[in-house]
Amino acid sequence: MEFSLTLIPFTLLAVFILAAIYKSLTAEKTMQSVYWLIFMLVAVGFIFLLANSEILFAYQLMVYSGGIAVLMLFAGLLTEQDELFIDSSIVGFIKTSKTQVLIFIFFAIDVLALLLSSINGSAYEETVLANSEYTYTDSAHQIKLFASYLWNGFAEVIILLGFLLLTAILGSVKLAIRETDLEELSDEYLARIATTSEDISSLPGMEDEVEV
Amino acid sequence: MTNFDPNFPFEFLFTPLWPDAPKWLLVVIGTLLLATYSLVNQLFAPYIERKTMGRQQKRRGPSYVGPFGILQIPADTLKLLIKADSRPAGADRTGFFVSVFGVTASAIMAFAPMPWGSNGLTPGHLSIGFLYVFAVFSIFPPMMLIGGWSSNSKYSLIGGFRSAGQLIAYEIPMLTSVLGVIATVGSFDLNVIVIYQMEHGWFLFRYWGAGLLAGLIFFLSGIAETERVPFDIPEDEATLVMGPRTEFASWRMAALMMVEYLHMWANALLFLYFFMGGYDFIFIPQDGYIYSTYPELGTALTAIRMNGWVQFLTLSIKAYMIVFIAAWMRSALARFRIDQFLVFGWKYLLPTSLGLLMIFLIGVDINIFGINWWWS
Repeated sequence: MEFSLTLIPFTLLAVFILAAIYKSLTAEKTMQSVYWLIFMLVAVGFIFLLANSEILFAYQLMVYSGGIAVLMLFAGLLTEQDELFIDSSIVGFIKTSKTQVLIFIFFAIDVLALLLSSINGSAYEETVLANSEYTYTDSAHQIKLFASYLWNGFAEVIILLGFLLLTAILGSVKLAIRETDLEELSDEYLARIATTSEDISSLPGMEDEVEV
Repeated sequence: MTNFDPNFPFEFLFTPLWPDAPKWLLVVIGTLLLATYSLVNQLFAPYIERKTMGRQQKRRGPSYVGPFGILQIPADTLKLLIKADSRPAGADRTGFFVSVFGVTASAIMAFAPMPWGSNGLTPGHLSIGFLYVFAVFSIFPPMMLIGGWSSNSKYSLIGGFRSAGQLIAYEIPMLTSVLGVIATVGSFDLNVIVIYQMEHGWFLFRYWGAGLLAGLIFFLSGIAETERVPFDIPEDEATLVMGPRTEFASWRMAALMMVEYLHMWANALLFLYFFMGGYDFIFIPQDGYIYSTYPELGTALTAIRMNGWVQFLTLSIKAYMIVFIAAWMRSALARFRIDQFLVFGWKYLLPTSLGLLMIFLIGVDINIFGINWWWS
């Protein structure tokens, strides 16, 4: 493969994305995790820009780095749990950041192996390279062609990643519900409610309102 | 229309001067020149603003440093740069640094697709044009929130919340107010939008007042996006000291001040591109009455309005006029309350801009604006 100037920013961005993912998974505070995630999303946007996909770059920044990131930041700032706590159970083991990193690396290698096997396969050469009007060294167009191939003829990876995302979303919702339930049933919470009710009911003229 | 390479700024100047020079070198020099011009303007925009405000408040404004006080802003910048840098105890180091970096980088990047003339005077030509600027602007709210949080100060945090809420509330009417223009022209490219207005007339004066109203919404949203008076709620001095910028000192403060003026400058340019013909110096459409009745006058006018230097100067002068209006608003108006401000954005500007979008789309589709007036 011939050397291209585009490779330098691509390599830098790729290294930065990997570092940002690692920092996002291992950060101590929720906010730190979210801002590393935002940096990663912005860097992914620049990868799209390098591949001459300007419209994808714009949507990546608008939707993910701009819109969803602000939602996550608001959610992170408006929740009480800031520090990551780890217990000794199996749930704690799964929630440990190092385990998450390992799971991520496992899936990343899995996806990479699938992609490499696809590129080296005869189907890729027949469908993409054979119909290409560009030379092998034209990296920007190669990335574009590869993206179209990925979209059209390699749907398994997309489905796998989709399932991963869905699992993560469902897991986070489940965890959020569980933590709320636990907090609402805890003795401390009940005691706090009881104290507050007593305080309010002891005020002059408030008895009826509390009973209602 | 143009035979110039859109990725080669100052081609009309460099090619005759250095015909044998490598093209990549000339592209780099041209882009650097344009980028420097955009940035140097940030030293003069505050000067114009302070002078205007001074005169309106019966003061002289900056007058000591340099002739007519013109070196006041460079001197202020120098002072900020050599001041000791400080970071509050307990501040998040990465967030404190990266928020300033992200905000500054995004503000500078926004100038890439903005044309300074029809002859390839664009720092970085992108076909998506406005969408790119809008995407780059959308990095701003999370960065301000991160900056506010990482300062470890309640004033900064509340200011960051307000800033993010305000920017999101006014980004949407800002986009929807220009969607009608984009649909009419059929392109996001700012250069194409300006050339369309050269041929058919400026959008501010078209469509029976709908263009004027859309322009007003865009201008107000732009002022709100830059967090300036009367929309400077995140920087509420009486309650929040300086909002999300409270704990930033030295070069960080200089960078954030520069970002404020870069945003103002970028929004002024966008307003000009969409509603006031951009670098077009006169409101006479090429498909209108004057051009068809007096063809010699039309030819002479076209020669002037297609001249690269005229376009460059026209855009600069127009942008400084918008800066003047922004300064005027700053010295004349009082600050909104946050609830009034958000109600104004969500309940009035957004529905109005959506209604205008419908008017634009329906009107263009059934061609109710097709009537030719004497000026159009």
